[in-house]
Amino acid sequence: MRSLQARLGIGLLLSLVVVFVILWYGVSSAIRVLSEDYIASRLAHDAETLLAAADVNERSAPKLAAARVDAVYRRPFSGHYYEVLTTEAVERSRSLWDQTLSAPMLAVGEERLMHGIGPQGQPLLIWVAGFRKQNVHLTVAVAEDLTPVEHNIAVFQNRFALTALVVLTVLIAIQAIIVRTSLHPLTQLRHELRALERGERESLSTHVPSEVAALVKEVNHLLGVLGERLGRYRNAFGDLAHALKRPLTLLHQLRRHEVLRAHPELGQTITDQVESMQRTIDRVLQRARLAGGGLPGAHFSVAKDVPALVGALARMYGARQIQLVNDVVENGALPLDREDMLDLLGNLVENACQWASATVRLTVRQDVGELIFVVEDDGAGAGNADLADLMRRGTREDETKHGHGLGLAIARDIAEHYRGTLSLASSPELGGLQATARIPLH
Amino acid sequence: MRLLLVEDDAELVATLRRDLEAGGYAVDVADNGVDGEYLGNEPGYDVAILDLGLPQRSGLQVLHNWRAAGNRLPVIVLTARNQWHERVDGFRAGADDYLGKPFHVEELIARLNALIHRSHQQPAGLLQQGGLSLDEARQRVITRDGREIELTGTEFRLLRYFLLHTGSLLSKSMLAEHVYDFDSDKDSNVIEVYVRRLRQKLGQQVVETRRGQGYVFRGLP
Repeated sequence: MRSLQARLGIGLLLSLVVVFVILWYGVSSAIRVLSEDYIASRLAHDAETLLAAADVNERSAPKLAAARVDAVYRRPFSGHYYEVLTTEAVERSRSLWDQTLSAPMLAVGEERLMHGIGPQGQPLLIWVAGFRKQNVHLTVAVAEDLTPVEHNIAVFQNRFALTALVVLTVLIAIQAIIVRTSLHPLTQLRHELRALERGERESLSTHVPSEVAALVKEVNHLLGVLGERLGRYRNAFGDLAHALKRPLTLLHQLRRHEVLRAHPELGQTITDQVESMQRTIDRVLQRARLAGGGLPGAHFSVAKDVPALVGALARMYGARQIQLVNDVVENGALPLDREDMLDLLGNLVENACQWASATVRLTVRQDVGELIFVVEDDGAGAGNADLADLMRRGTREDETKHGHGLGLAIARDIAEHYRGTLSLASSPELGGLQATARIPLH
Repeated sequence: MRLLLVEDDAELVATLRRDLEAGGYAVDVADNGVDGEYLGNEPGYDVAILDLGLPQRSGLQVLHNWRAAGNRLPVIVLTARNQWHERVDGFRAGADDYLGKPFHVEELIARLNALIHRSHQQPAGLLQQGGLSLDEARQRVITRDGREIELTGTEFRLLRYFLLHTGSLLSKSMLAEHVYDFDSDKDSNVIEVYVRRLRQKLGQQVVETRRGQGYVFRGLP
């Protein structure tokens, strides 16, 4: 996934480079055109001076009065040159040092500005014009070396490039800061999503820029819909169980009816079937509730919920002593559903209470990335073969008989739903059964 | 023992009332939360059975209101909602015990008896007091020398109440209130008849008469 910041940065860099290159070229051309125009007007002026200084006749080369020609035309390779051409002869400035400007003959009144290469490879701007003086047709070409102009333009271009580079860097830096600031809500959103997953929040904050507000609203809406649906499913299953339990309770009481007392085997059949239905309802309800899980409901707090559960169990099993060892240093509620965890622990501890002779011990501790519940009792326990049998039992409802089976099966369903494990062993200290549930914390 | 049954299922109430009365309880019934809460605040009840899914006011709310008003009436919650978090919430609201539906009546009565023992600081098992052991399941009393004595329903109720309040002065009307349910004709003179019968079975000294005030249970000498 490419970063939005990098994408925006590259976009800005490219567009700025294009703008600077166009500017660089445009400004350079403008300077060149302006300079050449200026030089050309000076050359035209010099040409007129030369024309005035020229003494011409039809047979010999034109003569220019030395006093009226600027000294710069006499110093060799000075950068200022002229040629005066008639149809028969050519008069060149001394500065040309016998080289030629190769100017064409122009008709009278015609003017032309051209570029050429002068002595020593100098780039020249040449102004050529055709005249008629004393009835002689002549062409005057005046040239000036463009090297200083080219040099100035090159200096300007370098400075421009340097400035552009600095401006570019500064702009990119400013843009990076702006982007980071404007993307801050997205970073915050990412943190909030993580908090949502951990279950520390129930919805996303709506204090976001308008660009992401719609997305946040949609996520919140979805969360609401899913939460509502989960609640509805859970309520529906709860109501179903409630509705089924009423007739089951009545059927259960029927066993005590006078007619059935005369037929104990019928009464026993009713009891067995009612209890089997009851176990099925409990198990299926449990599974259905779990299948609907995964969304933030009320969160499990070891410090708050476990003592409450142990208190409840202690009241129900007054003869048993339930020891609670809590080694969890909690920083906020855990991302686990309170109802699921209470069902997991309640089933494990109740099972232990049913089989213990006096003591049940519940140890809660936190390891790297997982929460561990260990429930031990001092009952008769189970041999290795029985342990394997216990783990296997409860995988199918009809195999689940009262006692160890159902509670452990439900506990295992819950543990596995959270991608955890439930393992059974013999308790090394208390001697009875030891059930260990490991629940990963993402 | 006078028991308040708050349950809206009429058929269940009918069978349950019969079983509870057979178990030695005088049963009053409320079929909604509002009536249940009102009756539970009346003096004279020894224990209450409370359903959670009640019309008008939920059982949890009723329980919460009782406890908030300082009513310490022992309560067994009897409900189809027996998920663990619901049980924890029930206990947190002030329940003394919790039984999921469907249930065995024998278990309910055993838990009721245990709860009543607990609320009178008596150990679980047989109710033992003043040289007498009361077998609540079989409704008979065993004396110190091993003699088993059969009791009628009313005798059993009266003796249980006496045993739980050994040494306390109990007026005839108070005894009638705890031995009979709401709808019975509470003629306190009937109490005299049953006290006389208990004396015939257990000996004159077990109950002392305080003229004009009531009775004090003393047990076997």
